[in-house]
Amino acid sequence: MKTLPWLLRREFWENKGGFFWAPVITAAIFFTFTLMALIGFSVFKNHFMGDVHIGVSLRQLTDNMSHEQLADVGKGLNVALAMLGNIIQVVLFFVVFFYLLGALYDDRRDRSVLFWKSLPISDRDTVLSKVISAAFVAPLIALAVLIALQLAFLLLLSVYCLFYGINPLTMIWGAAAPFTLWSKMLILLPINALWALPTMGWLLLVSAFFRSKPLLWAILLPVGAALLINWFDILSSFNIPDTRFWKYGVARLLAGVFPGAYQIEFGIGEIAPGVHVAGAAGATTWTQIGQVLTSPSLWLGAIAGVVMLFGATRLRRWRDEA
Amino acid sequence: MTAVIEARGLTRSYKGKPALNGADFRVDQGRIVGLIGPNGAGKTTALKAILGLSPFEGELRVLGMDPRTQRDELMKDVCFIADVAVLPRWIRVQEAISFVEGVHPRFNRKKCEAFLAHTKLTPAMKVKEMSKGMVVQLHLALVMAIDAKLLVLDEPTLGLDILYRKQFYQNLLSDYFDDNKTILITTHQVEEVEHILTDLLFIRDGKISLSTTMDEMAERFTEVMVSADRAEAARSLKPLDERQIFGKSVFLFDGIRRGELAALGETRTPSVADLFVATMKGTYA
Repeated sequence: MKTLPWLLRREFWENKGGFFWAPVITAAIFFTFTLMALIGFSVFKNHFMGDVHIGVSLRQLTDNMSHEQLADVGKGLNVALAMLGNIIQVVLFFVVFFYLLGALYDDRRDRSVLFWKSLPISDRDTVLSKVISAAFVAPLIALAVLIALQLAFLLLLSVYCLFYGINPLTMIWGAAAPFTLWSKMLILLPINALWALPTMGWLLLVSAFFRSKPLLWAILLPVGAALLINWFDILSSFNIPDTRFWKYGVARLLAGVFPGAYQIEFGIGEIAPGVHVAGAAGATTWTQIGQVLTSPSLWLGAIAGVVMLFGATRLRRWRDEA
Repeated sequence: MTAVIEARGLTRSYKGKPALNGADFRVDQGRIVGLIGPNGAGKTTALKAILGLSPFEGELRVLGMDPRTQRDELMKDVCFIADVAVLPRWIRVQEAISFVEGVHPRFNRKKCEAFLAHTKLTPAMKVKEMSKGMVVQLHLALVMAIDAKLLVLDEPTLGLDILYRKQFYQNLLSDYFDDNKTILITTHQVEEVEHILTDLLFIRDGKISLSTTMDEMAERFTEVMVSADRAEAARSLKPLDERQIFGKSVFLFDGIRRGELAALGETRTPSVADLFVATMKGTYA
């Protein structure tokens, strides 16, 4: 049956604001700022000694450069691209988090759930459509917007270079490696989805269960439990550090939908203990991907997530709105 | 006659209080049945059980299926409008039509668009921009374009003005209903549905207190307007109810032949509303 594609379309219609406009507007704002920085710098370049950085030093860009300096520009550009990626992904995180929290709650609150339930749609398909929207539809749209933003950013720099008689093909397009970043991000999508399963399961469970204030409950329950465990020092009596519950409980239940949330647990992109390089998606190596995919943490979490999704489906079926 | 709904000993309790208490009823194909009862009598609970929206005890078959386990299959042949205006506020007319067309195998887009052509609704309009009456028009157009075997309406016209209410039932009767379809309606506005019903189900305290066709009802119940001097004679026949109008007494009798009563005064068939009030006396006491 073609029910599922229609359900996905339905989710997109309802959440166009979050799925599409939120990343587009964010991208537009950042593009405008970059444009202003470039114009401003070009106009006032000769009047002040300072420099403007948009990932790369604009002053450096217009100077004559050696090969090493060119390589530096390349690195700088890639960091700049990754930063743009991170901004979009932060937006994506908030969009997906609140989308899931409301996915099985909003229509119960305004009673339109009765309309959806008057159609021959199984509750399994309904829940599945929400999971696919959160794990693939929204991230894919965000990725498309990001690609457009990064292309626009590189084009802008190219035009800037042309103004100063520098060949953008070597300076910009030869140095930056956007395609590597994009293909990495695409490849990491399903891994992100697997890692996000416990968070998706938890948020949908809360969304299907509570009659009011799902946000409060979603945060309060795991954080409250973690605080209690810390307070009474419960885990240390089993020789388990208390921080484990924060890391494997709270973080997995709430932060899992952040793209690449596993990077912290696996130390990907870590330059110093606890300090992570922005935009580690591009820096994730194949070995690290293998490491994530074979970790019990990923699969145990995924199982817990699927169990919670079953719970959410049951609640969706039987929760009585009397 | 094939039974569309068959319920035996239908029971459901909320926190120990019975909302349905062993209700037995049967709805046949091609009927328009009014499920009528006071607030809290179990109407909505019964409908929810029929639609597989809530669990229950007892035996219940809808189109031969168990709504608890075969709901997804059942909803291909059953449609419902619950309360009023429960369409999602963000949806546009064209989106609603496309979606229902996409997921419902029995939906007919042409029919739906024909219904909407008689309204002020436009394809790009969002539900949140509509008046309550327009939302119901859209919902009705969507539902009437579905060739369902059973249509369940729970207070479909609540909060609508008289023009929309009349039009609603008019459309339902002239453009939708036929011998293969069955409609089950609950409403408090008994006077408005009275003329379209073929069957009556009264529900009280979670039990069916009266189940009759409208024809049987007209035969079984008689209202007589009796002047004061004959009132005692009328009372001796054990009327269901007595009320005063313009110094005369109006008696409601159950199961006494009309010929016998004609001697007491002017006889007529009681309205459903009067019958309802008479049989539900003491409900809230």
